[in-house]
Parts: sequence; structure tokens; C-alpha cells
Amino acid sequence: MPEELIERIKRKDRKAQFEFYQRYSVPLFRLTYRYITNEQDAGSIVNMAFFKIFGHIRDFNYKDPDSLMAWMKKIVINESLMFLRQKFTYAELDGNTAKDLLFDNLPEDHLILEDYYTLIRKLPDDLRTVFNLHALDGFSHNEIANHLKIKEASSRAYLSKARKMLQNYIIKRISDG
Amino acid sequence: MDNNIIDKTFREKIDKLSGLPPDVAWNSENGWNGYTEKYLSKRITGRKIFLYVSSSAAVILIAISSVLLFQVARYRTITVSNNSGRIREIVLPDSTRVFLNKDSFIEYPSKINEKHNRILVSGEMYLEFNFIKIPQYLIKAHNAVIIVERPCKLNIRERIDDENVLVTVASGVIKIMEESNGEGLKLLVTEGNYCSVHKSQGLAYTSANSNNNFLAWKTGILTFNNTPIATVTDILAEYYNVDIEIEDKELAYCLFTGSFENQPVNFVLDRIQSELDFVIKISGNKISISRKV
Repeated sequence: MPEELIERIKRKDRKAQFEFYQRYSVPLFRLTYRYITNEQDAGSIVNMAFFKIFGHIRDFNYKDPDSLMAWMKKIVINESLMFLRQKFTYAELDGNTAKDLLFDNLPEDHLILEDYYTLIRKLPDDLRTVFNLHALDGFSHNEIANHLKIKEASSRAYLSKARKMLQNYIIKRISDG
Repeated sequence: MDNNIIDKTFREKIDKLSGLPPDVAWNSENGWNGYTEKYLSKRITGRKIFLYVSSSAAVILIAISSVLLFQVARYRTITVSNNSGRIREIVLPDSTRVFLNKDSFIEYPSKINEKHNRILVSGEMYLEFNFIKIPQYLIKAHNAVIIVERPCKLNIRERIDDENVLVTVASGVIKIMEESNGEGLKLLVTEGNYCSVHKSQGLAYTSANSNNNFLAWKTGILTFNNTPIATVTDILAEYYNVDIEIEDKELAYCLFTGSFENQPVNFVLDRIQSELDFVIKISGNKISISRKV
């Protein structure tokens, strides 16, 4: 049970930390790897996140497994964003957004689940960051703008470009067969 | 979240994924090895150094203490003041442990026995009477006289600016009387209760302790469980020595839950701000809390 594991971690039980890491490192790595394309960097960020998780777990009020996962995801995303901000700055973009709905629904037969993950990782860093934050992790444009030190309009423009690019990737995959 | 078809599709697909992507060499085994190497082995080394240094310090202290113990000790009064800005721990001649908060002092006899059993205190301190070697200790804090006859642990707060002397019993049982009332009125205070003695009016009463944070000065742990913000800010102001003003009075009744250990005030305020959607402004030692517009 997560609660019992958390109580043991609060008592600095090393074995409990290991069990906790075994249980949650894979989904958290997958989350990080969506933001950080270098595998080694992603691994380092996951470990930094666990360091902070273990350090702050005493402040965390456990309610249910979803709340635990949401809290850990927040830490991982923050660490990923800090890493990305160190690497480059996000430019302000023209607020004009291209029309981004090409299909009423996307043709899915040609793609497996892993393909969608791969396509996100193919996006350029800036577009990928904003798409991840907004489309997959539920951040508002206002929150994204605060995190990336850009205007809301730029966040929307990045998102629009990301969607367009993903559409094009899918079309190309389908046409390539 | 948007209902955009692209976002929705990718979200649904990504949510179904589990396990690691097929093209990665990383796994939880080597991830954990990396974690222990970076974050745990350093700590272990630090711990070893700490243990080595504290063991050496303990040996030196024992040597010094042994020398002192061999000196012929005449009865005298010992005064210990803590003006260091940190908590100071001392041990009385009878092994009673005392943790002195900042700006506190204690006066006690060099030999504690039946004849010499009076302790004078001021400020704030936590006393652990683990071994009772005499029938009775008498602890005087302003006009409050605390009688200890059995093992107990208690927090005494007697601050110049406070109207009352506050004694909170963490374990055991004590008796308290107001000095001018004499032995006639002694209140029994048990574990989980406190006694308040008014300094000028001489009134004393006892009640259940509802303040979980009475030992925060010692433990560094602040705990709030559905605590009204007015109470939270009082506790934070006392603990961090800051001025906190709630500008929108209706916010005073909002409830906050959270616990913190040895965290700076900014960390705590950030958490309150994000959970309760307040606007908190900090300017030096002055903090204001208002509603988000």
C-alpha cells in the first residue's frame, strides 16, 4: 500500500525508498522522456525528482494513489522545465495561429500507441515543451507563460505550431505506409 | 484541458502507455544504482564524518567532564543564559535535560538535593525530568511555581511580553500554584493539558492543549490541520519572528492543512498561497495576505 510505504520512507527506511523507486520510476521516466530527449539527462532528472520527493514527502498529505502520482508528476515536470530553461530560452512568437484542424478525427489504424509517444519526442524542444504542458499535462497558457517566461500569445502560437507539425507527421506516416 | 482533436487523441494514446519505451537502455535497476551513487553514498560519507567528529568530541567532553567531576564541588548556584539565537541544551546535575529557547535563562543549584531543589527560569524551555531523585522540584517562572514530583516532560513559556506564564505538559503530571496564593490552591496538570498563570492578576487555570505547535521552536515542525488562517499566521509570526497582516478579514476563517519541517518562511507562505489562492506580499519582516483579485 502506498500509505505504508510513505510512512516507512518518512522514517528514512532505505528499503522503502528502493521499493518506492521500483514502483514509480518507470512511469516518471516516461513522463520525463517526453520532455527531455536525451536518455541520460532524463535519467538524471528522474533521480533529482526522487531526491526531492523523498526530501519533501513529510509535507505531503496522502489522500489516494492519484494524488500521490499528481504530486510526483508536478515535481518531475518542474525539474524538467528547470533543465530545459538552462539549455535555451523560449522566444516570443507571433500570435497569429494557423488553422490547425485538418481532420474531424485522426486516422489511427496505421499507428500504434508507441508511435504517438515517438512523434511527440520528434517535435522541436520548444514546441514539444508547450504541447506536453498544455495538451498532455493540463497546464493553462497562463501557467506555461509564467514557467517559460513568455507571453500567453506565444504559448498559444507554440501549441498551434506543435499541433500542425504532429498532423503533418501523422499524414506522412500514413502516406509512407 | 482543450478538446482539440490532436490534443485529445495524443492524450488518450499516451495515457494507455505503460512500461518503458522500447528504444531506451535506462531501467529502474540502473536508475536506482545511479541514485544511490549520487545521493546516498555522499550522505553516508557525510554521516560517517559526522559520527567520527561527534565521537571524538564526545571523548574529549568525557575527558573534560571527568576532570571537572574530580574537583571538590561546593554548593553554588549556576546560571545558564541562552543569548545565542539558537536552541541550547543543558543537563542539570541530576540528569534532567533542559532545552533552552533563544533569550532564556535558568538558575539551578550545583548539587540538587532535598534542601537545594529550586530552579528559577525565564524565557522558554523544555524540561525532561526522566529520573526523579528527590521528593520534589520547585520551578519558579515569574509568579508561577511548578512542582515536579514524578517523571514528566513540560514546556515552560515565560516571556516578558506575555501576560501569562504558560506551562504545557507533554507527558506525566505536575502541580502548579500561583506564588501569592500559596499552597492553598494547587492545580494538577496532566499530559496533553496546559496551565496559564496570569502575571499581574494572579489567576491560574488549566485546560486541554489544542496547540499542536507548542514545541515547534524545538522540533522545527509546524503542523496545521484545518487550522484557520488567523491562527496559522499567529503561529508563523511567533515562530519566524515576522509581522503578518491579513488585509481581507474574511480570509482569516479560511482553513489550511499542511506540515513543514525546518522550512524557511517563504516556503510555507508559497504553499499557503498556492493552496488557498491568496496573494502574499513579503517586504523584509512584514508580510501581508490579501485576496486574489
